[in-house]
Amino acid sequence: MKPLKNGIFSKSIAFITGILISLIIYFLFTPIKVMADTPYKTFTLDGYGRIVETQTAYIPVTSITKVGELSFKNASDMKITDDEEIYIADTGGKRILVSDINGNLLRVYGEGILTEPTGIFVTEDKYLYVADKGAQKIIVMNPEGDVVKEYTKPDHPLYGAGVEFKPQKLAVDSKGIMYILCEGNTNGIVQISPTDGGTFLGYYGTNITSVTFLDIFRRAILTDEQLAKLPKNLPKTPKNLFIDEKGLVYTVTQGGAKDGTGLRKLNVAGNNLITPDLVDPLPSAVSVGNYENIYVVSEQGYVYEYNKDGSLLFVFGGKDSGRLRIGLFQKAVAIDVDKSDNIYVLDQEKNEIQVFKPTEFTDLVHEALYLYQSGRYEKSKEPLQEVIQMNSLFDYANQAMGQAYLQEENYQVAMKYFRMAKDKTGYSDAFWEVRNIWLQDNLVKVFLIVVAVIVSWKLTKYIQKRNQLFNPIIRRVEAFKNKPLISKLNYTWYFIRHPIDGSYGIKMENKASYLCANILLILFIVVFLINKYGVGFIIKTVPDGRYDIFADIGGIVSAFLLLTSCSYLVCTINDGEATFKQLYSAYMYALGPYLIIKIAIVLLSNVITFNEIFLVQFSNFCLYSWIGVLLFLAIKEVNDYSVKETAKVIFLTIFFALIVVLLIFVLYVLTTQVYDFIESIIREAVYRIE
Amino acid sequence: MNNYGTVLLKKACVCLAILIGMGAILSPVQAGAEESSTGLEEEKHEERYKIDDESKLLNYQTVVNDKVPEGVIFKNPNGTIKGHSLIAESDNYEMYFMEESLSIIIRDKNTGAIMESIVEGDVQGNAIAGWQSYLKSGIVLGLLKGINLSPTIVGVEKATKEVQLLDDGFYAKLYYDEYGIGYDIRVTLSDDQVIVEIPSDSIIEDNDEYKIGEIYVFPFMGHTYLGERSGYMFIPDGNGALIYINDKKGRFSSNFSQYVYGRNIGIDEQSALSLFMDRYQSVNEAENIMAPVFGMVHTDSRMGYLGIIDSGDYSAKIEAYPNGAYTDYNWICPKFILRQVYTQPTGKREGHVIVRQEKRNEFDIRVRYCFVSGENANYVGLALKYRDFLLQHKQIAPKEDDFKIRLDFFGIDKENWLIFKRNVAMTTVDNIREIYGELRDAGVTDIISAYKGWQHNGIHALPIEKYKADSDIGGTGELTKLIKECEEVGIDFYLAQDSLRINPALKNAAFNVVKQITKRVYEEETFKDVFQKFRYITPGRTKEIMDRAAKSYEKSGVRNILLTGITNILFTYTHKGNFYSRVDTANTYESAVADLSGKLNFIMEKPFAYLWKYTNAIVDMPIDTSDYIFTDEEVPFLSIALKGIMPMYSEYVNFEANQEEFFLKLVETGVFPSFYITYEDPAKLQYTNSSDIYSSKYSIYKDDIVRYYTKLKEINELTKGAKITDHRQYANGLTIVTYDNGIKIYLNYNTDNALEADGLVIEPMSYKVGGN
Repeated sequence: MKPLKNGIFSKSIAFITGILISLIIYFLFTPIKVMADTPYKTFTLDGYGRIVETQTAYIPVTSITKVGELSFKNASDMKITDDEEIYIADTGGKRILVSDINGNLLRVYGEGILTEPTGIFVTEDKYLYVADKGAQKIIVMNPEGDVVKEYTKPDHPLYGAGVEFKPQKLAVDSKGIMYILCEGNTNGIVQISPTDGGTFLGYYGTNITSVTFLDIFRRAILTDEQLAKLPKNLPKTPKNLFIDEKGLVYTVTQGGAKDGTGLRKLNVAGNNLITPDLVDPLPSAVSVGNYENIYVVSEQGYVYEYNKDGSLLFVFGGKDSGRLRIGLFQKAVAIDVDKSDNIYVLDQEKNEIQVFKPTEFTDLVHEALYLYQSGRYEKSKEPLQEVIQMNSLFDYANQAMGQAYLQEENYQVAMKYFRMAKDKTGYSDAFWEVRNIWLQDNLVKVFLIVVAVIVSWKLTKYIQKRNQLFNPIIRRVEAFKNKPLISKLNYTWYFIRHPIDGSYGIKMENKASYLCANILLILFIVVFLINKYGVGFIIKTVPDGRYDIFADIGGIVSAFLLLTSCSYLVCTINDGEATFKQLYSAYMYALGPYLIIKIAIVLLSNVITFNEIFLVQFSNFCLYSWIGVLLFLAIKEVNDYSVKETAKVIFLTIFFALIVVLLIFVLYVLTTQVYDFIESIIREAVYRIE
Repeated sequence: MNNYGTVLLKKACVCLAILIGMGAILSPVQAGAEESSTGLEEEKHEERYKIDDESKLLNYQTVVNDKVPEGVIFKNPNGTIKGHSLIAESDNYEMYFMEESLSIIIRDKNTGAIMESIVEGDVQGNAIAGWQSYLKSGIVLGLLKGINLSPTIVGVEKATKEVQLLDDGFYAKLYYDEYGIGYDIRVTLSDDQVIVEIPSDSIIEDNDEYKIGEIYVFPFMGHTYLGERSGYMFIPDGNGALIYINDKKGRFSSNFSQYVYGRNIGIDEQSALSLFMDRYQSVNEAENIMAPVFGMVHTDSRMGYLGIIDSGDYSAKIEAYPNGAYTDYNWICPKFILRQVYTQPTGKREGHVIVRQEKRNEFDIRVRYCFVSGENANYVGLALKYRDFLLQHKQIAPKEDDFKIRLDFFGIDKENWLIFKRNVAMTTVDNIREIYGELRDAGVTDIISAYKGWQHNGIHALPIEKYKADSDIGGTGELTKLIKECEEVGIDFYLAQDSLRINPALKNAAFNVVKQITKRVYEEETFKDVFQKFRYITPGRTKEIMDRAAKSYEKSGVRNILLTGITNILFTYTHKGNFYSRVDTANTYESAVADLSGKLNFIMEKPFAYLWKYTNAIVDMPIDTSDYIFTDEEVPFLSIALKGIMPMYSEYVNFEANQEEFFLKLVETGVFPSFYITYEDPAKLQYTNSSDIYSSKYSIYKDDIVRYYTKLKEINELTKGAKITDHRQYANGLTIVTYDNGIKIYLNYNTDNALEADGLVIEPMSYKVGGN
């Protein structure tokens, strides 16, 4: 872990300033007794990304509905400066109001000048930048309220001649470069530098678009005219943005919950630095707190808090649909945080700013964050321990704890916490260390044991050769092997090494039998389950301790039956010579390698780390290719097809299987419709009778 | 780095400069503060308040306007005030009456202050047309015309009245020719109470088209206009909340309107769900109103009243209108629901018809207005009146108020596993024994416990029909043994029984389940993984099951039961084609509990007021409110009324994020602490329906349990058996609670400043006990 050298100094300044200011804040805040049982619930994520409830993180303390005597209407943006002044873009009133945190009016900007201020940004030296969508320009005012600069549509050729300039939101970095989100401009964030009266620097941080399989299909099939009629696959414009003191740009985009564009943290080059683990589909604003933690508010009123890497810490809030309770929103459009970690959320329809205060629980989390991010892992364990005590599923806390122990070289405990947090990378690292130590301690012993085993094996063979001592045993084993069932089961071993001869054997030498195939199927299911639930933690796809065996077995059996029947039917139509029994047995034999190799892979996976994962991946690859080849040859030989015919048959089988699935689905839907219909008739009859 | 360092230094200097500037400028601005600024050092700043300056410091005094406007004080009325004639008199109050509007005015004989029930003269300010009737009429009816969704509001002007004056009030028969509706009303003054009665059998409905939907009783009793007066309205939300009657400046466009005893799941649609990620219920339900009370206090004229709905509380709503909501007046009143219009779905997915409720809810209406004056004209006075009422009318049998700490244990819940559901055992009988042993060694001896999830198949195996414990917690025999041991040691050990729900996944829930008025079976969604829906058992069947279970308990000598579910819900329902109103449900529940209250000892979870006489303690007592946007101040009304006569146990401390503050609240209200304990780590519950118990492990809470016990027991030793006589909340975070044995508790909710009161210094976020 790299401690942030620059970060420590500024963090401590921030921390001390924070303490000083919080004293003042607590003095100024009328201490209303608010209890922690809020109208909304608070959630966090567990290791598997499941949403779990947790203690209340923030409680609503007050709300600002008027600034002095002035109210704001349809306000679209809000920013809080370091000295605790709240700037509100009063879009309906065509002005910017400046309030203190108690709702007292300090200043008004832009009366008579602004047309439709939708976005604002306040720099360190209190210069106010206003994105005036109606006037189509950026207006810059000095702290006295005089307009010092205006920026209109850049007339740079790269900007696009036909593209309008309708600035909605903006952010300004420490050099005065403006990052502007324009309505209807899908090329990205407009970057304008203040030099020469406004130079267009280009588009920054464009969202990526994703191409779906359907798109590729369409492009291949449709004509140009038809393609022109389809909606264009344009990148989505971010909804809002923010710049922190380091110059990193944060954007939120609506509809980007799944494709990674929902919340982004961009560096100078425009590259996204984070992958958040849960993003709202409709975010409306983003801001950054005192520990580089990220706050996002969604239109529906959910407030998300992430740490600087995008791990979700808390989410709370809800929609106020007539409940008339505080802390719920009708349409949240802006969020900001002050020095004491209080959150301010602007509700455009309720025309109020709701203020939230962190609880003791949240203060612990923040303290842990702060200590951890400044590299003081040892100290960070204390608040982390308390957080885990209060909620043992709190994912971030477990992860941070694991890291802390990792740093301390207490690898066993680190492994435990990583497993709780389901952090596979961390677990892998810790496991490597643990294994390393184990090997160092035990390598000699292992070596000696291996040597002993080899020596005794050789010795037994030698004795057998010399004295034929084990003959009776060998004879019994042979006899056992010759039993019909066992010999057929043994045939698997032969089949997988000689598929062509093996298929011949199935066809001609009566090596096929239902019983044998069924046993193999059962073994297959067993190995499959062992693989699914017993495989090493870093590869495991199912949560620890969860078993869904019934569904698994059902799935395998039905899939297998479906494919076998379909292939049999297709083969019969295509002049295949195989009977169902033969095909079934052939498939089961072909799955032979799975039974043997998978077990080895499972055992291997339990002792490797991510460094050696290629071993597992490679083995899996070999295994599946081998099975693929066996299946292909089985179909070919048992049916006596040529290669081309076999390929055709396989393709047809898959196609046919899909059709069958579709058919079953349609039947299911129809049946439920009939059932619904009958049910509603009965209901109506009952009602009418009574 | 040099550059960076300089920039940082600059930033630090700027910050410090701003801080100094702010400190200097902003100090005199602090509301109510009489002194000084903050220092920049990290020392605690001490504020000292003299209590005789309280007029500036009490929270609600921020609306003080010492001048009482014209037309409020009448020293020598000579038999008429504002068109009303004197018709009744008691020791301290007089009642004046005006026939044409059926309105009354109550006058305090000692101070001359009056409270009116209609708006005299012209209506001021904005008043949306159609609301005039409320302003000018003593009783307002909401009539349902056919299947119109909005009721027709009718005042008394159009009715023919037959008024008969009595010694202590009047009796009137009203009839509306136009609508074919009639009713009788009797209003009497006795001591300091005005009693309004409308008997159910006096209600006439001759017309098929018009039927009575709602009745508002004296909607404008004690009303005020905009911010002309000082005072507040009291709503029974949670433990109690106040809405100031100051000028709201158009902030609110709608009113507070809540059912007494919770919403009616049998008829009313649930308010739109706020589902996070379309799956998780993200909003907490508001508290159900537990006591049918409401109030209005004018602090400038020092007169107020507490309204108690004595009869008809099963089907009533409390409505409070701050100025700006439809009119510019502040008013609060009870509204009685006799009939409703609802949508009857005709198909599974679509199609519905609007239907008017056929059968009227039948109940007598009786509202008591208990007036308070002078020193008692505040919410404490109202709470004391409520306490007197409860004791006088035997709504509560006073109980011993000895301090106990509540430790509830969680037994078993189920999770999905392989093909069946398996038990997750969190606390066995042996675990409980061990815990009690350890706590005894630490000095914690006065304990009351409820064991939840003890029954066979765990906490969601409902209903409980017999005494059979799950073998995973030790089995029935062990549990009985534990109960006996607890009796000997003096620990009150209760078994939890939810008598409302039935789990369709574990029991046959096809019959005897509650169907809404639409004849659809009602299903409660849990939004959890294992059991997704629960149904409710019909009250009749609940009674049967409770009787059966009681017999089974008695056989093993089990007497102590924590009753949940039916204690906090009322609904209309249909069963076998018959319609039952909330009144019927309440009566059935009451009789079920009454029949068993001789054989079993009950404690109840959030019980409604009509069940208080059958319970030995109130469990899960709300300490706060539901945070409505109207609420200006939270007051512990219910705790003040009940402290000393009924032991109250709080909601679980485990789930409080601000534990220090919660602790102080317990000290303030006299409510006893409660913990929800499991022996195992609650992470084991993550795949069960109880996954919302995110923190409960005994080993973590042990120290807190001992701490809460020792500190709170200390205080309760001093206040044992005493009742609260005064409660004041100051704007700076100071709260003073006074008991009738002279003990005073001082609390400081301020997080940074120490406060001084009566010679004591109270540190931030702590308390001191004073008095004798």
